[in-house]
Amino acid sequence: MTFVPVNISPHSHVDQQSDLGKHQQADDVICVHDVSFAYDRRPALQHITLHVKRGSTLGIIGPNGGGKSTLMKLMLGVITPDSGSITVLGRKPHDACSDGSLVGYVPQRHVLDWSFPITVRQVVTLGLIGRKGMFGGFSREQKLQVQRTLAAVEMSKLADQPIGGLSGGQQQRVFIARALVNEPRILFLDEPTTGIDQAGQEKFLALLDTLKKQYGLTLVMVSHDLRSVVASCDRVACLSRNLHYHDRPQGLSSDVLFKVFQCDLDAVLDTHSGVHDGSCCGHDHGGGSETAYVPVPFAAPARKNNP
Amino acid sequence: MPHLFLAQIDTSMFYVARYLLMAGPMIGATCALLSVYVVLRRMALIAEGVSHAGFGGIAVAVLVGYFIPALDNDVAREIITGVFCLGTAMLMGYVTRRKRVSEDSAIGIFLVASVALGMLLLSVRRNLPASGRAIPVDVESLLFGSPAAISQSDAITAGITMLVVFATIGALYYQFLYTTLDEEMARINGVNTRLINTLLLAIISLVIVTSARMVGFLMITALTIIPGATANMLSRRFVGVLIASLIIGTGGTFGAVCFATVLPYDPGPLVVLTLFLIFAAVWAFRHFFKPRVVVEEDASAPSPPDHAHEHPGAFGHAHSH
Repeated sequence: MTFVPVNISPHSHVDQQSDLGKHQQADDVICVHDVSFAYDRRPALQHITLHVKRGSTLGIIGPNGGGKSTLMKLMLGVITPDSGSITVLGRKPHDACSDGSLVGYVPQRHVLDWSFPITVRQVVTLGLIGRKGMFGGFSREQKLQVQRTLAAVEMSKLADQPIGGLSGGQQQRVFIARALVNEPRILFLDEPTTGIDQAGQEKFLALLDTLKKQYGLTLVMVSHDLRSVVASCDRVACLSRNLHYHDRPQGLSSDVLFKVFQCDLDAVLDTHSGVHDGSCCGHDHGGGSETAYVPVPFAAPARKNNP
Repeated sequence: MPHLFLAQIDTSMFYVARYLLMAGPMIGATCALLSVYVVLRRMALIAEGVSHAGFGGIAVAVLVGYFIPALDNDVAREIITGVFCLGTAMLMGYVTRRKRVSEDSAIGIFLVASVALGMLLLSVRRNLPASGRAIPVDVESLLFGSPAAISQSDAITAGITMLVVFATIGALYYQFLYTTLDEEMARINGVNTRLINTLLLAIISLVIVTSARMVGFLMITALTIIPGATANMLSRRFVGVLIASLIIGTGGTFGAVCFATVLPYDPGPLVVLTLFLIFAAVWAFRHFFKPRVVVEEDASAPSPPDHAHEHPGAFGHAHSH
């Protein structure tokens, strides 16, 4: 991974030129307004306001315990905020998600027992459970829909395999297929690249990009992997109980990352290539333009002697 | 010498034990179906807690029957016991959800408290004026079963229980499956998981109460765990696990009850030990030979690679925040 310096305007929550400064109700599919949430009086999120535009890809990053998954659960309607409001496609989050055709969710892989005796096809079919009656099975059309979705994620050949024999990347595809089988408009992904090797991550992000275009999706991705977020998202939200940044990834500065992660850029990115022009994290945070280091994804590794 | 043994068998023995022979396989089948969900949801300890709550519940029912003669009959006692079991199970879940007490601690506490309550209440009952009414139960039969006392009404009860359980799980098959597989996603996708969880606890309570007369509250849990655990080693497809569990539970119970009919031994321990031996045999076979003994839903499907993905061992699903 090569890092190039990018000159940006002074750090701000939302860039002056950014269209995120304006709340366009017609374009916004998710509106979070002044939301706070606490677990047993321990604050997890405080005064979060952000909106997600139709067709965009939002990456939510932050340290462990920063509230990333909590924000996602609030947007999914699994939990309700202590204060503030959230709407998803103009509805309450729980109503939007239970419909199935509006919102899809790809959870973290570790929450599932992968030794469960069930096939890939059955897992994906269960994603349609909200679309059938309380009693009875799935219709022929629904079964065909499952078949088409498995083809879209390139899992047709493994459709009748038990899920226990799948690789990490294949497991992730099963989750995506289960979320996409309802043809939702928004897709939430919780740590989608965790536990997948570099090559698998590249394939996965490429597949996600293809599916986004094919289904016309808006994506919201929670991740602690800054590289994959910067590589694949056109908007980034930095969360550590409060919202420290919400704009394009190019605008991320080292002082924002330091404030969010409480460590310098190198530690956050876990880089070993050390491509710098001399200035680095922990520099003077005074006014004026700052230099941010934005990873160029999938570039050839730089040689040690190169500046 | 088999011929001497066979010579001792009197077909009238089977007639005498006909209700046990009818009720046994039905109880075995019902418990076997339930055991798949108990095992896959890692609720074995909960089932153990509920079965011990049954001991406390029957003692409550006996005491209530003393003071309210209209409730001094088998049906009323079973209903009161069932309600007590369900209430205890829901209380265990409530305490655990508060997260101040771990699940295994909560179950352990309620389990011993139920047994202690049962012993205390039976002691209280023994010390009350008899008034011409004998205590309808005794401790040994409660704990280990009283198969000799299984009557026509017990066989009918076992049949009705089997129909109710099979019909409920069959009608809500996909809801039970999804909640068992991934409760949070099931809820997000619109499944009423609270209803499904309550139904499952109610089914566990019903099965334990109606089946305890055969094997006793101490051992009934074995029937709700062993068939499912054994079947889970035999198949990687859910329907395969269900079928295998039903075969093991029904066949094992029927075989043990038949043996108990001709041998002068209690059927309860025989049933449990038979199921245990089946489990041990399957485990040894899988462990030492590692063949792909699969009860296939689709015989033409290719065999998956033998990867062992062990769950971290939590009693419930862990979620990150």
